[in-house]
Amino acid sequence: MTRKWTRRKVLKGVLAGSAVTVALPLLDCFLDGNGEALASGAPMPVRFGTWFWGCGVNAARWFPDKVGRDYDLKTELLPIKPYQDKVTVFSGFNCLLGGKPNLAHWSGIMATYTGVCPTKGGMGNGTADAPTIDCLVSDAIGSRSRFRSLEIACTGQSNVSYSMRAGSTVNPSEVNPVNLYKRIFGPEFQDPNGSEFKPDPAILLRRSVLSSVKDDREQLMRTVGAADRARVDQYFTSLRDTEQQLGLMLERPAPAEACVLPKSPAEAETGPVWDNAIRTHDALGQLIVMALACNQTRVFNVALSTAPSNLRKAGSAVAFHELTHEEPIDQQLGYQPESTFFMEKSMETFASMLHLLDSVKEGNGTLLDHMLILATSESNYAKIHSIDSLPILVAGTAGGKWKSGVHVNGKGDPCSRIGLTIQQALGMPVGSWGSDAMATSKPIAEVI
Amino acid sequence: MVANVVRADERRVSMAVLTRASMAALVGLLIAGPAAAYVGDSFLKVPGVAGDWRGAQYDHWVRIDANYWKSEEGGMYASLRQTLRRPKQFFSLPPAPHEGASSLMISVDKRSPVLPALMKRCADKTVMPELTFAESADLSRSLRELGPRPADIPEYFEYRLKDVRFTDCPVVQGAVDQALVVSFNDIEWLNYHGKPDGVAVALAPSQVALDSSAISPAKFSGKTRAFVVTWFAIANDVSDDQCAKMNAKPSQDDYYALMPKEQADTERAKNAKAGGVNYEDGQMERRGPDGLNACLLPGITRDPGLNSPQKIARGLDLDGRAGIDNQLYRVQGCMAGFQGHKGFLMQYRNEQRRNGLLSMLVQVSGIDNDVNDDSVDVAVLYSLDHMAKDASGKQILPDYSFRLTDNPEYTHYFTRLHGRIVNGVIITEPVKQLQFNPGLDPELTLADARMRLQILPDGTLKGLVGGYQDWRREMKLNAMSNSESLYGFQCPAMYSALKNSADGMKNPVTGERDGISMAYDIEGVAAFVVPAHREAQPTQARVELEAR
Amino acid sequence: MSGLRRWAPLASLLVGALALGWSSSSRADVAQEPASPGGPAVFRRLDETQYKRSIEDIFGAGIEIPGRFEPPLREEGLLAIGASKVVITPSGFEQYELRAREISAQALAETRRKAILPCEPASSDKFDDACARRFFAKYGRLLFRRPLRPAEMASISKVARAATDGTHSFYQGLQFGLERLLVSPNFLFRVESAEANAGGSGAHRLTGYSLASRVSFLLWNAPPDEVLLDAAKSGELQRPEGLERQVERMIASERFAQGVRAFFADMLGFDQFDGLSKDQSIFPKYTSQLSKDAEEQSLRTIVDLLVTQRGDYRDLFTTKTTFLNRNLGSLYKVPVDDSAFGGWMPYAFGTSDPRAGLLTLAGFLILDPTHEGRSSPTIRGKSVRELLLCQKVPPPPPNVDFKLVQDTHNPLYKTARERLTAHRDNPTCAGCHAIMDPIGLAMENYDAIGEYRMQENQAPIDASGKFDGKPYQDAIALGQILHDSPSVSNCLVERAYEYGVGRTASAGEREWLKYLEQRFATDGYKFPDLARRIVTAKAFQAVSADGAVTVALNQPARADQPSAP
Repeated sequence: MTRKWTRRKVLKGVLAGSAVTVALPLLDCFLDGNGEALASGAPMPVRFGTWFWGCGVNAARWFPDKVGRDYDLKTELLPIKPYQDKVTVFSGFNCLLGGKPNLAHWSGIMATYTGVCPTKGGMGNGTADAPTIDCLVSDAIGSRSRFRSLEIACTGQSNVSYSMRAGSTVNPSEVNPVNLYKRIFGPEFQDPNGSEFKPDPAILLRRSVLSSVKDDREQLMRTVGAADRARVDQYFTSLRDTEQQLGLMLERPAPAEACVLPKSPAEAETGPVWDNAIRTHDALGQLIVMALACNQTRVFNVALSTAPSNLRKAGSAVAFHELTHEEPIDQQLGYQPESTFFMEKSMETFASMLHLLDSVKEGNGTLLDHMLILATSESNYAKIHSIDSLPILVAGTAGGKWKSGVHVNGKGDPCSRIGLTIQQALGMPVGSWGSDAMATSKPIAEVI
Repeated sequence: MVANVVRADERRVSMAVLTRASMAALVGLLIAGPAAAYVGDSFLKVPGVAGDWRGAQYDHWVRIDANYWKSEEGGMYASLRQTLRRPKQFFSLPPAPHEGASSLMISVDKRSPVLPALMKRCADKTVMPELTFAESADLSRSLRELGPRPADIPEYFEYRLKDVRFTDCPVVQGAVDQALVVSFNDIEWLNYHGKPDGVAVALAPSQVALDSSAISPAKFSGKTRAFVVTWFAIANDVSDDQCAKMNAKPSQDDYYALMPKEQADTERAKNAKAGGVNYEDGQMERRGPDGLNACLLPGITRDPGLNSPQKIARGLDLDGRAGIDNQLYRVQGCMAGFQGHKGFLMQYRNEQRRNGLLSMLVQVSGIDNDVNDDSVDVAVLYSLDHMAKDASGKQILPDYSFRLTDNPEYTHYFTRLHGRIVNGVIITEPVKQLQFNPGLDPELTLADARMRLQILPDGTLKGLVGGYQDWRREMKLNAMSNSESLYGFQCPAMYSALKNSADGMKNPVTGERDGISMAYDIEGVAAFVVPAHREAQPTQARVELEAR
Repeated sequence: MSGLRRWAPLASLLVGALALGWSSSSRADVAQEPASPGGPAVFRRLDETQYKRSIEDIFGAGIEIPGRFEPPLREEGLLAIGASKVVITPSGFEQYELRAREISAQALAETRRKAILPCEPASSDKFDDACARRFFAKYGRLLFRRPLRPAEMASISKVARAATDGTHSFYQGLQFGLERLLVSPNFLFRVESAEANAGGSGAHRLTGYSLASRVSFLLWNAPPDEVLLDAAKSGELQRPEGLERQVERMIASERFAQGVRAFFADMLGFDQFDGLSKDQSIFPKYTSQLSKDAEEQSLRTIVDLLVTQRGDYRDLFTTKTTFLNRNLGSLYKVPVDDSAFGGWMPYAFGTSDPRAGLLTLAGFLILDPTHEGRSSPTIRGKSVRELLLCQKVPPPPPNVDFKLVQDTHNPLYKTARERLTAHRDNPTCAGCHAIMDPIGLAMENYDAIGEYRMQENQAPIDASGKFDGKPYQDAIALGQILHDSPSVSNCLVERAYEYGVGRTASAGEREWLKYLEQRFATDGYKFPDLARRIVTAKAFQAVSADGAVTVALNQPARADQPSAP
């Protein structure tokens, strides 16, 4: 009876967003947890990207009500509908200041990107008190490609970037499609399918460690009781499982089948005027996508605009950020119509990035299936710089390591839990992340 | 003042990362930014002109209604960096040059009997070998600064201007004031020879703070109830039907209105690239005649008129005559950004406190009877311990403990009022002066102030603080186009409205009213006030935000 | 290692004194100890805490231990018993492999090498067999909690040699060898082996090294330190006075507190705090931090009373003494001073304050993963029965209609008592609810997050009831009754023993447990004395005939033969 009682509890735990996962002897719920590497034979390279937009959302028009699968899409999130099963929505994940300042248009983004609330800055500039997550990821997976990471900004300002090694200097963004093209597909470009393949000697040694452990088996089988021999067997089954994965990593990786040289984009005007910014986004986006498909980089960062967004409609002196503060709330609509234009358009633009990634076929899925993109803004409600329940999306499934298509409510937990979960899903050896009130060692069970 | 040293460093770094554009927006938001405006009396001694001013000082000098020095014409940005580098406990000097040629912009009430004489000198381009000018040290001081005026700072700064001409005096029909540009070849400070930018001052803890037992429940009979303030904002809640029309920021056309056509055309073309005239960097406020600053001299352009709310406001009866007194509500009730719970400014200030900037505490002591008690005490105290929010961030959680800070920047404002409970309502006796330090925004000083509080059945606190505020401070605070666009108003309209609605703080010399009645909503949830056991340093929040 | 030495001096000071006070009588007791058949030797997976503590104890603090651990399993009321049932899954192994790499890399990093290596290699780019063997002998013994067998040593050196040749670095070679140790089942599981018993109770007994692990994990929730392993090697551990000397040292050590924390966290089901959730629209004060605080408060209260004060276990149900931080000050509506900001302040609830004993603290009241929006007297009653009285409550029959109980807005039934009374009209439910509800209803003055309340839906709450025929008015009075109830102290004795041996007590062990219960009483219900009696008892090392598969195959002489360093 005890066991039944335990099951109920554990199961409830899962529903309630617990880190507890069902663990029953011998039968394990993670047997399928090794992702596509096994399914598709050769391991797919996994990629990571960030996508930033400024000045937040209208919570009531953005966050779903329904938690879990098949969450409801409100007007402002509607653009992602075609990719809903590949997008995870997070609500109730907060920037917990714990006595630190709420730095206007700064604390929120740094909390999500670095897991640490910053102590200096404001208005989209300042100090990162720890490296941003893209840097951590590129340290882990970026070294195997030509560019550790690529940054782009869509308003023509190369200092608009939220990729930082800590300190107050940013990894500058590429803002001109022509220059980005030259940088990636210029003379230094090498066809990924051409170059020859050398297996990583470190992986050979890792495998030898595992096969050596098998020497312990016989002695152990003689030592333990009859009932426990099955458990010893399960241990060695699991060990062989990892051995096989290592074996796969020693084989030549899947050919970059989707890699085709794009043609050089035309010069076009850049700047904070909406139409130019969007054209720039798509032009830069296409190049980034090809850079990924051609294994030129595995990490990228997109900044649609600076955090206090200077995006504006042509012929208007008032930019998005000023609108969020000065525009009155329309009593009929219940929101600020002019500001909302930019909020809705931001999500359309994110959807167009998803479209670009999802239309590149790779293995038995798409590029989007083999990556994670963290998309977020620096505030929930920019009008008053609120940083509770930051709008955060994660797109992609990291080759099956990430359970996408759900809406998770963090119930006021620190948003650093999302960064921690991403790093673990990408196979990085990270047990805890963030500091002070943002410190966490609790990954989000609903997605891994 | 170790804390100050630290703050100085913090400040340099944080300023370093601010671009001009972002700084513009920032200052607009962090309301305590150093508005450069000088609104209120200053005095000019013009040889051969018998001035209209009558007073113990500057008798027969010419009365000036507002002024700014050339170095300030860019609006708040002119003095921003240097002012922000200074500690808050500081008394800075006016930005008058110390030597050399420059100019001073002044505005004079068109009803002034001496205006014709001044206009004639302007028209004749008369060269005056020497003029003397006097301006109040307190009125010229940055509003973010705290602490009393030190002995070595005179009440009025006096300057001798040499080889002076009124080089410009554009006439604008319908404007209440006349602008004059006073150009001079040299200047001499007559009564101040100390440090060139100002003097550090120190706030002293208030008597209440010094006598720690004064806030300990033990001292009082009966119950003590404490609350942390969750909402402190001007009582400007206006229902939609109360404003026939909202006030609006200046339009693009307003900027070109006083320009000759061909200049307007070229300017329009130039500004089109940026989408039009910019409000954030102060461009829009230079829409006065001949590019004079229409916010620093708020009377020199035509008053577009004010939309006021229809029904009566909430507030307290300050003068004993029938009805409540809340004239500020008439002025600002239909300016979107200045509304109470709906307005951006109040939402923003309260959000900052809720995010850990500062916790205001109200402690009601000596309650022997919840319904009727002829003697209770109401203390207003401050803590740097942050409030706890629920998961949604919308609700401040009750029953938390707060350690009193011992930082003079707040202990100076520890206050205790005496009052009574009548039918469950706590009413304090009026006091000559009641001061608050609400955190980001400047010190709030109310004259003839009182509080009216209720402890509701759910254990929360709700009430009003009423008093008169110096209208010239209120104007100075908002005299920038960044504020005009942020809150939805126009400098000339607010200037006339404040001046004409002033109803308190009778000026002994002029007999005019320097104060405007107003009311603050105050709301709180149950809390515990506990003593501070250690030197309470300003939180990072304060360190950083004060650096703005 | 330094981690371990820290305790030594303190220990040696205390050993003598305490030993004198107790050992003479204890040896007499051991003589009176009823014979016990013992049970099987068990095979337990290290849990997360034990794994992390092993690494810290063996390689020193500051080593980052990455990755997710496999969830524990509760069996027969204890995770410690579940640990004898769980396996290592493929994804779990993946994490262990990754962990092993990260840890050995850090352990042999430039900065740590000197401190960690027992010898200087002849050359840093060639394999030094002697030095490698000394290294593996030292750390193999600590990680496997017994000396390496010659075959194991050979297999590990082979890996290290190959890696050295591949990387041209001796240290990298050691690193791969260390990885090999860290992924081995002999580290990840606590492997117990038995040997023929020289005339003790039970057919067989644990080998000295296996006993060392049982003792160490029960008292410290940590692997044996070098001193204890030496005692196992010399055979001291298997002589009563030798065992007592070690046990005294370990109970005197500060680390005993961490062992006590671990046991009570297991017995009280505190693993359920992980992922606990309450409806924040109903309970705005609830956050995941609050549940952490609630758990910590209970553990601090327990350790303070049982270890620091050497108090009477039963007082846990009546004590007014506890610890608060700022969050809990708000939950209990009391002011806290400076020490509770970012820390914990000792606190005694006032006599009029409706708090006394564990059952009135949030750590117990909040701990209900099955209800987010309301308190459940049934679950609270069930917890008391199962966790504190070791009584099993049958599960509810299938397809019960819980509507009546769940609808807290039904105007007909304003309080939980009214709802449950109505629900109990259903005869299929009545039986079990009669066991659980009365106890739970006594705690209805505390809502689902432990805030005090006098009413529910404006209706007054009646918290009175009867337990074992004794009437009570509220939870505090019930606490006093539980305090006086033998079933409560007997349950602790049973759980503590089962926790130590990693299995349920067998029918054959009844007598021994009864004896242990009596001794617990005569010792004044002092938990340290109970722990001491358990680990020094013959029953604790007895292995039943059927449970000892190893004897024939695996003579102690061979099994425990240290390989030449």
